[in-house]
Amino acid sequence: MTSIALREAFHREFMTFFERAERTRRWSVFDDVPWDRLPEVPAERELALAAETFCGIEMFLPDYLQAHLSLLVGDYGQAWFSANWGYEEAKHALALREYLLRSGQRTETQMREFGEAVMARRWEPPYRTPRQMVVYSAFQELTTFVSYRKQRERAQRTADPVLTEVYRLIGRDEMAHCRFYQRILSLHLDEDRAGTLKDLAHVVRTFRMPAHELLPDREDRESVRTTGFGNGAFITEVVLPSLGALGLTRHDLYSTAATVPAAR
Amino acid sequence: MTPSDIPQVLHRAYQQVTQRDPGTLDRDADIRALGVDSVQLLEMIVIAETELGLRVPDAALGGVETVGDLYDMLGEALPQTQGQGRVQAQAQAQAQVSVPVEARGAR
Repeated sequence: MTSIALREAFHREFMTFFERAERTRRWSVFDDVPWDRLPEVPAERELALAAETFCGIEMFLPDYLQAHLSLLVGDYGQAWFSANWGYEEAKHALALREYLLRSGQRTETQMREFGEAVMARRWEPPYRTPRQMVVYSAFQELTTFVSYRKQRERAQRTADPVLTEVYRLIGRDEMAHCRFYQRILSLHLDEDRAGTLKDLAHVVRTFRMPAHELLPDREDRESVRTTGFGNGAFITEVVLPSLGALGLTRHDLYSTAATVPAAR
Repeated sequence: MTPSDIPQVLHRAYQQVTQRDPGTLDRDADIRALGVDSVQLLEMIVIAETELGLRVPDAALGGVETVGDLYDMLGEALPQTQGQGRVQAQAQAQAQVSVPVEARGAR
C-alpha cells in the first residue's frame, strides 16, 4: 500500500488529467471520424491487417483493466484513472472495428470470428506490484503512441483519410495516458528514488508489448504491427525520451541504486 | 582511457551484460547477430561510457548496427586530447579483435 500523501498526490494528478481530457480531448467514434470520406479509402491489405491487429490488442481491455484495478485497491486516484483509461481505450477498439466494417475490408462474420479467437485467450499482467505496472504502462503507452504515429504516417501515404484520423485521435489519447503515468512515476521517484530506479531498470530489461503474441496468425501480424519500428526504436523513441521526461539519463538506469534486481 | 582501450572495454561490457564470452568481436559483426538486443546494447554502451569516462549523445545511439559502429561511436566521443580519436580507434579495431583469455572478465 502506498502512503496517504502519495495517494493524495495521485488523486491530484488524476483530477488534472481528467479536467484536461474533459475540456480538450473528448471525441466520438460516431461524430469525429470522417466517415463521409469512406469512398476515398483504398483497399490496402496490409493497412487493414494492421488495423485489425491493433483492434485485437485493444480488445484485451477487460484483462488489462482487471489487472490494474486488482492492484489499486484503496488508491482512488489511480483506480479512477484506470476507469477513465478503460473508457478511452474501449473507443480505440471500437473505432478500428468500425473502420474495418464500414470500409468493407472486413465483414461482420469475420470480425465476430476474430473477436472470438481473441477473447478465447487471456492476457496476464507481466508485473505484480503497482509501481512496476506504472513503469510498464508508461513505456507501453509511449510505445503504442509511436506505433500509431507510424501507422498514421502509413495511412497518410496511402491516402486513407479515415484511418489517418482514427490513428490521430487514438494516438493523442495514448500520449495523454503516457504523460499521466510519467507524472505518477515522478511522484514515486520523489518518494523512493532507489526503489523506483530498480523498477525502471527491471521493466526496461524485461519489457514486452502486451497481447500481440496472443493474436491468431501472429507472424503476419507481427510484420505489419512493427512496420517502421526498426532495431533500437524502443530505446531511441521510447526509453530515452521517457527517461528524459522524468529528468533521468540512461546512466541513472544502470546506476548502483538500480542494479539490485527488483522483486517480481 | 584511449581509443585503443575500446575493444577490450566492449568485450567486458558484452560479457557483463550477456553473461557470455563473445570470443572474437569482428568489426563487421552485426550486433543483433551476436545475440544482443537493443536494451542490452544500451546497457553495454552505458558500461563502456563509464569505463572510458565519456558520454555519447542520445542521437548517436540509433545508428549502431555493427561492432564497428560501436567502436566508431565511442572513438568519436573520446576527447581528442586522449588520442587520435576515431582514426586510432578504427586502426585498433581494423582486424579481428581477440581479447586474451586472462584479460577477459577483468574489471
